Amino acid sequence: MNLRVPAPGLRTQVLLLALILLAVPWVGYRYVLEMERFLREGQEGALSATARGVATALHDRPALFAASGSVPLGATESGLYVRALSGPIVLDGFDADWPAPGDAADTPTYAGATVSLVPRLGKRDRFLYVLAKVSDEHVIYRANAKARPDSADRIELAVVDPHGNFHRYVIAPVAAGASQAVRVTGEGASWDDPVNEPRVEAFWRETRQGYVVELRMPLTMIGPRLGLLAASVDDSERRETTSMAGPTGTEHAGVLASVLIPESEIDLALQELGRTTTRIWVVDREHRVLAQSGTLKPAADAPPANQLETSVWSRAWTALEQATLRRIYAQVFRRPSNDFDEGTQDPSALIGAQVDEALSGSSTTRWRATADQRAVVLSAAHPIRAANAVAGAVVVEETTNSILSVRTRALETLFSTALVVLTLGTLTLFVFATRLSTRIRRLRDDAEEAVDAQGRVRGGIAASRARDEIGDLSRSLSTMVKRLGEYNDYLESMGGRLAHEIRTPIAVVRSSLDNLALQTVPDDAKRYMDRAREGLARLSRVVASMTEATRLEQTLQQAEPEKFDLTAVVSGCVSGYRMAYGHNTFELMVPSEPVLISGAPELIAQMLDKLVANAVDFARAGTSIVVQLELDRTRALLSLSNEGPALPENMQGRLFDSMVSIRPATAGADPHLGMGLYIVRMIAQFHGGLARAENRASGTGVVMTIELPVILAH
Amino acid sequence: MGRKIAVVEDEPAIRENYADVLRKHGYEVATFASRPAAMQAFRTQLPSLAIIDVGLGDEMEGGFTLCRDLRALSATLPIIFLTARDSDFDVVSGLRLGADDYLTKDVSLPHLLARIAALFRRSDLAAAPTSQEEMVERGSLRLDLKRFSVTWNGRLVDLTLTEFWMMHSLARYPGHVKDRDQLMRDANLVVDDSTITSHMKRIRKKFLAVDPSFDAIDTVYGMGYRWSASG
Repeated sequence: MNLRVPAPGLRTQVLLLALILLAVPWVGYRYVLEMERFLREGQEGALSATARGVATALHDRPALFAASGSVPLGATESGLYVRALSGPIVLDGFDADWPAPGDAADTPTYAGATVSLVPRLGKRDRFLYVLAKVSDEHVIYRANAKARPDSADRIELAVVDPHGNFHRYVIAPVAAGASQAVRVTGEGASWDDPVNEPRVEAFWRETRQGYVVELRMPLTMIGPRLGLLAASVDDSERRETTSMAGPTGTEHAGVLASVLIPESEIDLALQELGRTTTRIWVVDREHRVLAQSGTLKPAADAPPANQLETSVWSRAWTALEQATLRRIYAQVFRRPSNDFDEGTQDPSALIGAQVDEALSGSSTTRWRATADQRAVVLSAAHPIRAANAVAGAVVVEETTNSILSVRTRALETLFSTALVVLTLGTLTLFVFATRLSTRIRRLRDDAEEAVDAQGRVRGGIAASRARDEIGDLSRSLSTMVKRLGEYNDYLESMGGRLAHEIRTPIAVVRSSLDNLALQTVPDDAKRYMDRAREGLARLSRVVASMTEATRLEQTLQQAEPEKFDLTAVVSGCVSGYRMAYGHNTFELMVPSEPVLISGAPELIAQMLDKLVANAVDFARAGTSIVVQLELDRTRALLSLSNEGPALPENMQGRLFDSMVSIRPATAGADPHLGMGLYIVRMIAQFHGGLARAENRASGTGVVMTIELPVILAH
Repeated sequence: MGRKIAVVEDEPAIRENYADVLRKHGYEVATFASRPAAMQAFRTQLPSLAIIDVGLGDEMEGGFTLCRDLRALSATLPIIFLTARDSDFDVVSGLRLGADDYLTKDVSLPHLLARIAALFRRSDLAAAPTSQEEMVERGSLRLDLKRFSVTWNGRLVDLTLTEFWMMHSLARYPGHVKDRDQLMRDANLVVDDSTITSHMKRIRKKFLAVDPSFDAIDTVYGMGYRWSASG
């Protein structure tokens, strides 16, 4: 089997080379991945540094942890503490906006005789929030606004403010709904003459079990101690307080739980570091969250980037990209979503092991997926030391969304750019290759055109002016063909020059012989003189035939074409040949109508002379030479056919060239320089026709055919 | 009286051969190898007839220049170009400069002598009255065999000697086809066929110049030419 695959053209080759361009997006992709890795490392480092920074800010401040580390809200046996609230709280008596309670320790119950209290404390935005769920069979409100605050069911709140002053506040509204607390101690206030405290806002909502009070007060009002209780009045007539429940009493500063709102300091530290999309926790040794700042999700409605491009083109491109590529990218690249589950507020539940490690003194960073697998979260934990012991830990969390965004954006840009570059590059290469191959092909066509099938130079090659290699090649070929043509011309005209040079010596010999003839010479000498004359005559004929082509060229240059009937010329000539050549008969076949052509009749006659002389030379004696003129639409076909030896295969094309002869050299015969058929060709070409020689189909002779364009009768 | 022929030819062998044969036939011969030498002598004394080669040494066209200068000195002096250059262009150039004949060096000496004799005869008789019996009349054509002059419709057609002899050959037997060999023989000329064709073309042109409707010379393709009887 010999399978031949066609060799790829220049265009295909260049396009194949263009595949190298495909490396561009690949390299770009590798680069983006590398960049992502660096970004992740950077993020890890940054997050770790943040954690360390926060931890350092909290180092050696045992008070923070001692205070909060004991019991945040006084009750030694309770686990009640102020927790940071992540969301805004609406004072409406419902706990829906409060974080879900973690376990029983989160919501301790304080029970009295007829009343029990489940308080929850939270802190947000410099406010202390309290949600007090009170179970009370009979909810009794103050009779009127003037009534003593202790004449009704109430929530009592006592603080030692930052200046050390004791204050006791009571929330005892006259009806459910929004209300304010009243101050009953200090600075002109008493149970009988309470002072409104607008800074403590509250909302009272009745429930089936009793009521819920949701209140808030600025943290600035709270000093080192805090007390909270619910008091119940069961008889609306007697209005005596019958039962109280709460983590502390409220009578005087001594019964209050020592409380420090450590958050306010830690928060200050955290807020300085505060970033959106970063969540910072401070936990104590018991894994309790002392402070929290930030959220993993970015602020809503953040303006999308890159909307500042104003150029029409870039906008059009963006629109196009959105319409086409983005859709594909959306399928291929996972864009980071901000719609993920942040997880609970308690880092221990999320990353307990890491917190444990931090609490045991080592700093770590971890990657994990969110519970819903929609985002990857990086967390860094760092221990907080106080007095050479670990007092707590800082946990900083961040999603990798920003990096993913950057990566996705980079990949999209990369692929869009690569697509454009590839398209343009391939297109450019294609155009370049097409142009190159067109130029080369044109050059090839020119080169093939320049030299005809017989190796004659037909015309020059127009030299290209391009300054590249192809231009060079074109110029070289042009010069080459020109030189070849000149050489050809030289060869073809050599006969003429030679003849001219020979003429003078011939004239010398002839005139000498003529002179000699005038002398009286012996008969012997006359014989030699005759031979000399004979030789001279032959030499003259050689010279004549050598100059014939040159003379013909001059004649052709000056010839003025006229319109004449080819039939008449051929008929006349053939009748002349019948007389001139006795050994052969001539068969003449011409069309009945005139065949009009444009040219010189005497040249046509000269051409016929040559053809007939050639045919007669090769025809076997006694055979007839067929001269036929046919009209073939636009061409006149003049053919001479003779019986005789066939043409050698390789000579058929060259027969009409200058100085080509296939005659055998015969001693004594007239010399043949092979100019006859060359003259035939010249005359045929002058008339816009062509000459060709073929063997007869039967192989018994040769047919010479001249095609001449005719003048079409209108 | 002694006829003096000037031979201007740069090839010594040819020059001497021509000089020898001319002397043998009784002519006085002066030979020159170059144009300046010839011209210098001509200024002093004009020859009776000049035979000039076209290429003279380094001067490719020296003969043409000489012919023009010589014609300027004398309007009637017979001038014959005898050269190796046989292109139609050269022939036309030479004749246009006022030469009486243009011969290639193929010409044999007897033919040359015939021409020289004819040219002398013509110049001798240029002024003499025409004798009737030396005229050939064919319709509008009149050939004066003594003066070698041709008229058509009474107007002179300026033919060279060779052309005149060809014309005479054709017109002697109107309607008869003269082939090229016959024409050559009658014109004291040995040339190839295409030279005959050129001569006939020139003759036709000269008649056409006198009479644009001239068509008395027929080409009989393959055979020769004929003076048409109707003409």
